[in-house]
Amino acid sequence: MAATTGYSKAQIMLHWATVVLVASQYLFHDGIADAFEEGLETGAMTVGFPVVLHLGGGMLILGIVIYRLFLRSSEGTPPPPEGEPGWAALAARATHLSFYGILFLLPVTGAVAWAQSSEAASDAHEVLRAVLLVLILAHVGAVLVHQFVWKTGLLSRMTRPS
Amino acid sequence: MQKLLLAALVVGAGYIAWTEYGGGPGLSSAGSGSGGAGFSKFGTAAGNVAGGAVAAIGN
Repeated sequence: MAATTGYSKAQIMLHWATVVLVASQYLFHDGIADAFEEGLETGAMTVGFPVVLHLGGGMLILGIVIYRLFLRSSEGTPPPPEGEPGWAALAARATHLSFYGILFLLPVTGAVAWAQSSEAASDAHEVLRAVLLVLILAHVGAVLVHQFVWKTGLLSRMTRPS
Repeated sequence: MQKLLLAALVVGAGYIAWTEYGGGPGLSSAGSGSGGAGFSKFGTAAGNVAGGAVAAIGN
C-alpha cells in the first residue's frame, strides 16, 4: 500500500457520497419494506419510485465501496493521527474494515432478498442494517472525541485533499 | 465550517437512530401518523433480536 499523508479528492468525495446515500437508504426505506412485505403476502411486488430509489441507491453504494477499496490499495490511507491512543487506532482500523464489509454485504443481501423473495436474506439485511447504524454512531462519536478531546483535527482529513 | 459539518453529522446520525429504534417518524412516513418502520415492520426474529440489542446499547 502506498504511503500518504491524507486522503485524495476522489476518496473524500466518495466518502461523503457514501454518507449521503447511506443516510437516504435509512430515511426512505419504508417504500421497499412495504413492497417486500406485500410481495411475501401476495406474491407480487409493486415496483414504485421508493423501490427503484432504494435498489438504485444500494447498487450505487456497492459500486462506490468496490471503487473505494481499489483507491485504498492504489492510493493508500494516511497513518493514525498524532495523539491518538494505540487502542483507538486499532478500533478505528477494525471499524473501517467493518464498514467496508457491511457496506458490501448490505446491497448484496438486499438484492438477493428482493430478487429471490428470500426472508433469510431479508433477515440478514436487517441485522446488517442495525450493525451499520452502531458503526455509524461509533464513527461519529470517534470524530467528536478526536475533535474536542484529543484535538487531532481528524475531520480536516475528510474535508481537505492531501 | 467543520463545526457545522460535525453538527450535521451528529443530528443526522441521531435522527436516523431515533427513527429506526426510538419510535420517531421516518421521512417516508411523515404525515401519515405512523411511526418509523423499525424492525417490527419485517417482523423477523433476527431483526427483533438485533433491534433489542441496539436498543439495549442505546440505553
